[in-house]
Amino acid sequence: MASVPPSIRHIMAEPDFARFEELLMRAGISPRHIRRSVAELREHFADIQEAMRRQGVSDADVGRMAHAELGDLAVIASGMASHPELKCWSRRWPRTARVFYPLAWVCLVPAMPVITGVRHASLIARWGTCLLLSAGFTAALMLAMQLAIQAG
Amino acid sequence: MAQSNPPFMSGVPELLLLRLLAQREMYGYELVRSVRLVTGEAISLGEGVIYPVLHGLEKGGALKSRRKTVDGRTRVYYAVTRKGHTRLEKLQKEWERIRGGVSAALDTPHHG
Repeated sequence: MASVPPSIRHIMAEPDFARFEELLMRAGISPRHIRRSVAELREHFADIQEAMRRQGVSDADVGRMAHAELGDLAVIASGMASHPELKCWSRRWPRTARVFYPLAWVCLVPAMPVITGVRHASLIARWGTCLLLSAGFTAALMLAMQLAIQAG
Repeated sequence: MAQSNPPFMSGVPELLLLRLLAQREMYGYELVRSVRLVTGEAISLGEGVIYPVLHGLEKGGALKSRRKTVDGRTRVYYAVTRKGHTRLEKLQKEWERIRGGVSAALDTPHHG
């Protein structure tokens, strides 16, 4: 990369995978497939570039040709969108999702303190121990004071 | 570069990918190159278009995948499952039937 003039570096830059991700998200593709597709296409792009360099293609042409060979990311995204099985379930069954999500929230809200308690059990245990110790100390202090008053 | 042939491609990528992966596990780039090689560049799958097909086949249980790091590069290798072998047999039979039909039609002498 260092030997490439700045004027053509933008040509060698990798495809706009951020835009690709956005297209897939809008199409309702599940996040797992989005992450994997981006990773695979990135590797694929690097493989194409490597193969071109081995064939003696100049650095100036590698980026442009690799882009062309990989293909238009919008077309790939629409190809993925045409596979309903790759979409997240809420996009495949929107009516079910519209019923399920509110119900799930109604069930989840009362359970949140319990879930939080389980997740932060050690912290709560430490806090509880400190509280008990301080209560014990205060009680002992008050008892000592009471005994001192009675003795006096 | 071989020209793409979308009108006749329906179902063909799936058949080719399953056929190649039935021989050995491969990753996406390797598969695209293999398709070109075995078809004598008659069929050229779009480089990136292969992934939706692979993911779809995996989701359907015909393929399984695993990540493998080779020379510092992490690749996703695909292999055919038992269900995939069954699907491949079915697709091959279907393809033979269509090929037989088209051949018979082409071999029929012209009338008039």
